[in-house]
Amino acid sequence: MKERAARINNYFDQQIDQCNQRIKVMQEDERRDEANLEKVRANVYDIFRTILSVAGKTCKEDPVAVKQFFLKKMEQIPANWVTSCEQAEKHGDTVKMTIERIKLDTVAEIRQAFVQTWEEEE
Amino acid sequence: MTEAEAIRLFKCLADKSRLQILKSLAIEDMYVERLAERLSLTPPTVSFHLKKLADAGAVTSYKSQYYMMYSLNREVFTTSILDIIQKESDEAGLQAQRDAQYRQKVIDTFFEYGKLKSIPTQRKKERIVLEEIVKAFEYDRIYTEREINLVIADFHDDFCTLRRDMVGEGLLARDGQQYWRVRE
Repeated sequence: MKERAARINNYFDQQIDQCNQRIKVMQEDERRDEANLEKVRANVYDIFRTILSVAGKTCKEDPVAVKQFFLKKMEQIPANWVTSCEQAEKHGDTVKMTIERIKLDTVAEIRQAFVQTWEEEE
Repeated sequence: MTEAEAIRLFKCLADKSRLQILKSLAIEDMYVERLAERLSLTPPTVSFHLKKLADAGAVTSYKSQYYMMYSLNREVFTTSILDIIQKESDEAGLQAQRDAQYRQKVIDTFFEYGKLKSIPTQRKKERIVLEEIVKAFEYDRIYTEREINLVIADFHDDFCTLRRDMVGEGLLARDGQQYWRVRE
């Protein structure tokens, strides 16, 4: 269990690190809005890194319970983002839509990485 | 272009990717995917920037077959920066109010019962004081130096300094011994 969590944490750290590198490059390149979009992506990784930590503590390191807890949060947390994205699309708010889509795409990517890593060990 | 519109446009232009998009659109009208390919950005990122550019009035869009085409709003870019700066500020009213308040404060500080207590050392304040004294002179009338001195002496004993400074500030004009009040 600890090894799985460590591998996923490592994945989060790598992703956040890559985001931060891109943010630095974009800021130096006067592409501040794109840098802010990268910050949004990095925040999503950070949210779910925290969720995984909470899952480990709440579920007392039980791998099945941790998986259930984590996947449930992966449904609950982005629910508002889906609504927000739909609303933005309805009103032609491309800026908001882009932000919400980045969040949702990042969640989908995290989910895939989590499931893959967790199931490799099962 | 209003001040708010100018601020929005300048903010919008302060981004390398958006400038690259505008440079591409200056060549020809393009759709999102084409811009994304040219600039090595993702289509959502290009859409994001185009929305900001459209909101700032820098680009316009139109439908062409299956594509939404974007074009440069050339009219916006023919406005010179000098035109924008010279346009009366939305804040003009407030600024005038603040100026009037400051002016009154200086007058209240340096005048007492119609007499000048002291000549301000700051040029800006002295100008206000001189503008107040010069109101005692009529337009379209020629004054001798003595007449000028007598009027100024009602305000302050140092009429020589005040007279010279009024001429220096362009509030009074002189030709030999003749003086007259200059119209603003």
